[in-house]
Amino acid sequence: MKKYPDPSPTTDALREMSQAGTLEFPVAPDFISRPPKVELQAMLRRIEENMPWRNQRSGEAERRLAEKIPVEFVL
Amino acid sequence: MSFIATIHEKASRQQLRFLVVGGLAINHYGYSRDTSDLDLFVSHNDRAAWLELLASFGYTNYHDGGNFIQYAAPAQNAWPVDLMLVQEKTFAPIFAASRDANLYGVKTRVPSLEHLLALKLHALKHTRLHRFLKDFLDVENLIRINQLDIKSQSLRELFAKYGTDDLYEKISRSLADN
Repeated sequence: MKKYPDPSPTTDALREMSQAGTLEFPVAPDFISRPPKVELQAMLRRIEENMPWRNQRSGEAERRLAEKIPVEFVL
Repeated sequence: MSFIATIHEKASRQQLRFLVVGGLAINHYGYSRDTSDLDLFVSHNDRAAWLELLASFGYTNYHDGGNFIQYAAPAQNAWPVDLMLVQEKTFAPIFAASRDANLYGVKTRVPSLEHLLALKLHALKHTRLHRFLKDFLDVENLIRINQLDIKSQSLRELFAKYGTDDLYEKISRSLADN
Protein backbone atom coordinates (compact mmCIF):
# COMPACT_ATOMS: atom_id res chain seq x y z
CA MET A 1 0.00 0.00 0.00
CA LYS A 2 1.34 3.36 -1.03
CA LYS A 3 1.30 5.87 1.82
CA TYR A 4 2.02 9.00 -0.20
CA PRO A 5 1.19 9.93 -3.81
CA ASP A 6 3.94 10.29 -6.38
CA PRO A 7 5.71 13.64 -6.43
CA SER A 8 3.68 16.14 -8.39
CA PRO A 9 4.99 17.59 -11.67
CA THR A 10 5.44 20.88 -9.79
CA THR A 11 7.82 19.23 -7.35
CA ASP A 12 9.83 17.78 -10.26
CA ALA A 13 9.97 21.16 -11.95
CA LEU A 14 11.21 22.81 -8.76
CA ARG A 15 13.90 20.16 -8.36
CA GLU A 16 15.05 20.75 -11.95
CA MET A 17 15.13 24.48 -11.31
CA SER A 18 17.24 24.10 -8.19
CA GLN A 19 19.69 21.97 -10.16
CA ALA A 20 19.89 24.51 -12.96
CA GLY A 21 21.98 26.90 -10.89
CA THR A 22 21.37 30.53 -10.07
CA LEU A 23 18.61 32.25 -11.96
CA GLU A 24 18.94 35.85 -13.00
CA PHE A 25 16.03 38.16 -12.35
CA PRO A 26 15.63 41.82 -13.27
CA VAL A 27 16.53 44.33 -10.57
CA ALA A 28 14.39 47.47 -10.44
CA PRO A 29 14.34 48.89 -6.93
CA ASP A 30 12.43 52.01 -8.02
CA PHE A 31 9.57 50.06 -9.54
CA ILE A 32 6.41 50.26 -7.44
CA SER A 33 3.60 47.88 -8.21
CA ARG A 34 0.50 49.85 -7.37
CA PRO A 35 -2.94 48.80 -8.58
CA PRO A 36 -4.78 51.58 -10.40
CA LYS A 37 -7.59 53.43 -8.72
CA VAL A 38 -10.93 52.31 -10.13
CA GLU A 39 -13.84 54.73 -10.29
CA LEU A 40 -16.01 54.05 -7.22
CA GLN A 41 -19.24 53.02 -8.94
CA ALA A 42 -17.34 50.77 -11.36
CA MET A 43 -15.51 49.17 -8.42
CA LEU A 44 -18.79 48.63 -6.57
CA ARG A 45 -20.21 46.84 -9.62
CA ARG A 46 -17.09 44.67 -9.79
CA ILE A 47 -17.43 43.79 -6.09
CA GLU A 48 -21.07 42.87 -6.60
CA GLU A 49 -20.19 40.68 -9.60
CA ASN A 50 -17.40 38.91 -7.70
CA MET A 51 -19.38 38.39 -4.52
CA PRO A 52 -21.34 35.24 -5.49
CA TRP A 53 -18.27 33.20 -6.53
CA ARG A 54 -16.22 34.51 -3.61
CA ASN A 55 -18.89 33.37 -1.21
CA GLN A 56 -19.17 29.95 -2.81
CA ARG A 57 -15.53 29.15 -2.03
CA SER A 58 -15.21 26.33 0.43
CA GLY A 59 -14.44 27.45 3.96
CA GLU A 60 -15.50 31.03 3.22
CA ALA A 61 -17.63 31.40 6.37
CA GLU A 62 -14.77 30.06 8.53
CA ARG A 63 -12.33 32.42 6.81
CA ARG A 64 -14.57 35.38 7.53
CA LEU A 65 -14.97 34.29 11.12
CA ALA A 66 -11.21 33.96 11.60
CA GLU A 67 -10.82 37.60 10.53
CA LYS A 68 -13.06 38.96 13.25
CA ILE A 69 -11.54 41.09 15.99
CA PRO A 70 -12.81 39.89 19.36
CA VAL A 71 -11.78 43.06 21.22
CA GLU A 72 -14.47 45.74 21.33
CA PHE A 73 -13.62 49.09 19.79
CA VAL A 74 -13.83 51.98 22.25
CA LEU A 75 -13.50 55.58 21.10
CA MET B 1 -34.07 47.38 -5.28
CA SER B 2 -30.56 46.50 -4.08
CA PHE B 3 -30.03 44.85 -0.73
CA ILE B 4 -28.30 47.94 0.63
CA ALA B 5 -31.26 50.05 -0.47
CA THR B 6 -33.64 47.67 1.27
CA ILE B 7 -31.58 47.63 4.47
CA HIS B 8 -31.35 51.41 4.35
CA GLU B 9 -35.08 51.83 3.86
CA LYS B 10 -36.15 49.35 6.56
CA ALA B 11 -33.59 50.62 9.06
CA SER B 12 -34.62 54.23 8.42
CA ARG B 13 -38.25 53.34 8.94
CA GLN B 14 -37.37 51.93 12.36
CA GLN B 15 -34.96 54.80 13.08
CA LEU B 16 -32.13 52.29 13.32
CA ARG B 17 -28.79 53.99 12.84
CA PHE B 18 -25.90 52.26 11.09
CA LEU B 19 -22.69 53.02 9.24
CA VAL B 20 -21.17 51.01 6.43
CA VAL B 21 -17.62 50.04 7.39
CA GLY B 22 -15.14 47.47 6.04
CA GLY B 23 -14.26 47.15 2.38
CA LEU B 24 -17.09 49.29 1.00
CA ALA B 25 -16.08 52.22 3.22
CA ILE B 26 -12.45 51.72 2.21
CA ASN B 27 -13.48 51.97 -1.45
CA HIS B 28 -15.50 55.12 -0.70
CA TYR B 29 -12.29 56.79 0.48
CA GLY B 30 -10.51 55.99 -2.75
CA TYR B 31 -8.66 52.74 -2.19
CA SER B 32 -10.01 50.29 -4.76
CA ARG B 33 -10.05 46.76 -3.41
CA ASP B 34 -12.38 43.81 -3.48
CA THR B 35 -14.57 42.73 -0.59
CA SER B 36 -17.07 39.96 -0.16
CA ASP B 37 -19.31 41.10 2.65
CA LEU B 38 -21.29 44.00 4.04
CA ASP B 39 -19.98 45.23 7.38
CA LEU B 40 -22.42 47.30 9.40
CA PHE B 41 -21.35 49.33 12.43
CA VAL B 42 -24.17 49.57 14.98
CA SER B 43 -24.84 50.41 18.62
CA HIS B 44 -25.30 47.73 21.27
CA ASN B 45 -28.47 49.63 22.17
CA ASP B 46 -29.98 48.60 18.83
CA ARG B 47 -28.81 45.00 18.96
CA ALA B 48 -32.22 43.36 19.36
CA ALA B 49 -33.76 45.42 16.60
CA TRP B 50 -30.94 44.52 14.18
CA LEU B 51 -31.25 40.83 14.99
CA GLU B 52 -34.93 41.03 14.22
CA LEU B 53 -34.44 43.03 11.03
CA LEU B 54 -31.81 40.69 9.58
CA ALA B 55 -33.84 37.63 10.55
CA SER B 56 -36.76 39.12 8.60
CA PHE B 57 -34.55 39.06 5.48
CA GLY B 58 -33.77 35.37 6.03
CA TYR B 59 -30.28 35.89 7.45
CA THR B 60 -29.12 33.29 9.93
CA ASN B 61 -26.69 33.89 12.76
CA TYR B 62 -23.49 32.00 11.99
CA HIS B 63 -21.52 33.23 14.99
CA ASP B 64 -22.24 35.66 17.80
CA GLY B 65 -18.98 36.95 19.27
CA GLY B 66 -20.64 39.63 21.41
CA ASN B 67 -18.83 42.52 19.73
CA PHE B 68 -19.56 41.16 16.30
CA ILE B 69 -22.19 38.94 14.76
CA GLN B 70 -21.53 37.07 11.56
CA TYR B 71 -24.48 36.19 9.38
CA ALA B 72 -24.89 33.63 6.67
CA ALA B 73 -26.68 35.01 3.63
CA PRO B 74 -30.06 33.51 2.71
CA ALA B 75 -28.94 32.90 -0.90
CA GLN B 76 -25.63 32.48 -2.69
CA ASN B 77 -25.94 35.78 -4.50
CA ALA B 78 -26.98 37.72 -1.39
CA TRP B 79 -24.59 39.84 0.61
CA PRO B 80 -23.15 38.14 3.67
CA VAL B 81 -23.55 40.58 6.56
CA ASP B 82 -21.42 41.21 9.64
CA LEU B 83 -22.55 43.43 12.48
CA MET B 84 -19.86 45.24 14.45
CA LEU B 85 -21.29 46.35 17.77
CA VAL B 86 -19.99 49.11 20.02
CA GLN B 87 -21.29 50.88 23.08
CA GLU B 88 -23.57 53.85 22.46
CA LYS B 89 -20.98 56.26 23.90
CA THR B 90 -18.62 55.13 21.11
CA PHE B 91 -21.26 54.86 18.41
CA ALA B 92 -22.90 58.27 18.90
CA PRO B 93 -19.86 60.49 18.19
CA ILE B 94 -18.76 58.33 15.26
CA PHE B 95 -22.24 58.49 13.78
CA ALA B 96 -22.38 62.26 14.36
CA ALA B 97 -19.11 62.74 12.46
CA SER B 98 -20.01 60.31 9.65
CA ARG B 99 -20.10 61.22 5.96
CA ASP B 100 -22.57 60.68 3.13
CA ALA B 101 -21.64 57.89 0.75
CA ASN B 102 -23.30 56.82 -2.48
CA LEU B 103 -23.20 53.04 -2.45
CA TYR B 104 -25.22 51.21 -5.09
CA GLY B 105 -27.36 54.27 -5.71
CA VAL B 106 -28.21 54.68 -2.04
CA LYS B 107 -27.23 57.69 -0.01
CA THR B 108 -25.93 55.96 3.08
CA ARG B 109 -23.26 56.83 5.62
CA VAL B 110 -19.67 55.83 6.35
CA PRO B 111 -17.42 56.88 9.26
CA SER B 112 -15.20 59.91 8.82
CA LEU B 113 -11.78 59.04 7.44
CA GLU B 114 -10.23 59.63 10.86
CA HIS B 115 -12.66 57.24 12.55
CA LEU B 116 -12.25 54.64 9.78
CA LEU B 117 -8.48 54.78 10.32
CA ALA B 118 -9.03 54.41 14.07
CA LEU B 119 -11.13 51.28 13.43
CA LYS B 120 -8.43 49.88 11.15
CA LEU B 121 -5.66 50.61 13.65
CA HIS B 122 -7.69 48.90 16.35
CA ALA B 123 -8.00 45.86 14.07
CA LEU B 124 -4.26 45.90 13.32
CA LYS B 125 -3.43 46.12 17.02
CA HIS B 126 -5.52 43.08 17.82
CA THR B 127 -5.29 41.18 14.58
CA ARG B 128 -4.16 37.69 13.90
CA LEU B 129 -1.42 37.35 11.33
CA HIS B 130 -3.56 36.37 8.34
CA ARG B 131 -5.51 39.63 8.17
CA PHE B 132 -2.58 41.87 9.06
CA LEU B 133 -1.51 42.55 5.48
CA LYS B 134 -5.00 43.52 4.32
CA ASP B 135 -5.46 46.00 7.18
CA PHE B 136 -1.92 47.31 6.81
CA LEU B 137 -2.47 48.04 3.11
CA ASP B 138 -5.83 49.66 3.91
CA VAL B 139 -4.19 52.07 6.36
CA GLU B 140 -1.20 52.80 4.14
CA ASN B 141 -3.32 53.42 1.06
CA LEU B 142 -5.96 55.49 2.86
CA ILE B 143 -3.22 57.79 4.14
CA ARG B 144 -1.44 57.96 0.78
CA ILE B 145 -4.50 58.41 -1.46
CA ASN B 146 -6.09 60.99 0.83
CA GLN B 147 -2.76 62.81 1.09
CA LEU B 148 -2.66 62.79 4.87
CA ASP B 149 0.58 63.77 6.55
CA ILE B 150 1.88 60.80 8.51
CA LYS B 151 4.03 63.21 10.52
CA SER B 152 1.05 65.33 11.59
CA GLN B 153 0.20 65.53 15.26
CA SER B 154 -3.33 64.23 14.67
CA LEU B 155 -2.14 61.05 12.91
CA ARG B 156 0.54 60.46 15.53
CA GLU B 157 -2.12 60.70 18.22
CA LEU B 158 -4.43 58.37 16.31
CA PHE B 159 -1.69 55.72 16.08
CA ALA B 160 -0.78 56.20 19.74
CA LYS B 161 -4.38 55.80 20.90
CA TYR B 162 -5.64 53.00 18.65
CA GLY B 163 -2.51 51.41 17.20
CA THR B 164 1.03 50.98 18.40
CA ASP B 165 4.37 52.77 18.04
CA ASP B 166 5.57 49.84 15.96
CA LEU B 167 2.68 50.22 13.53
CA TYR B 168 3.41 53.92 13.19
CA GLU B 169 7.02 53.19 12.35
CA LYS B 170 6.11 50.47 9.83
CA ILE B 171 3.49 52.59 8.04
CA SER B 172 5.83 55.60 8.02
CA ARG B 173 8.60 53.53 6.49
CA SER B 174 6.28 52.00 3.91
CA LEU B 175 4.93 55.42 2.87
CA ALA B 176 8.46 56.80 2.61
CA ASP B 177 9.57 53.86 0.45
CA ASN B 178 6.59 54.18 -1.87
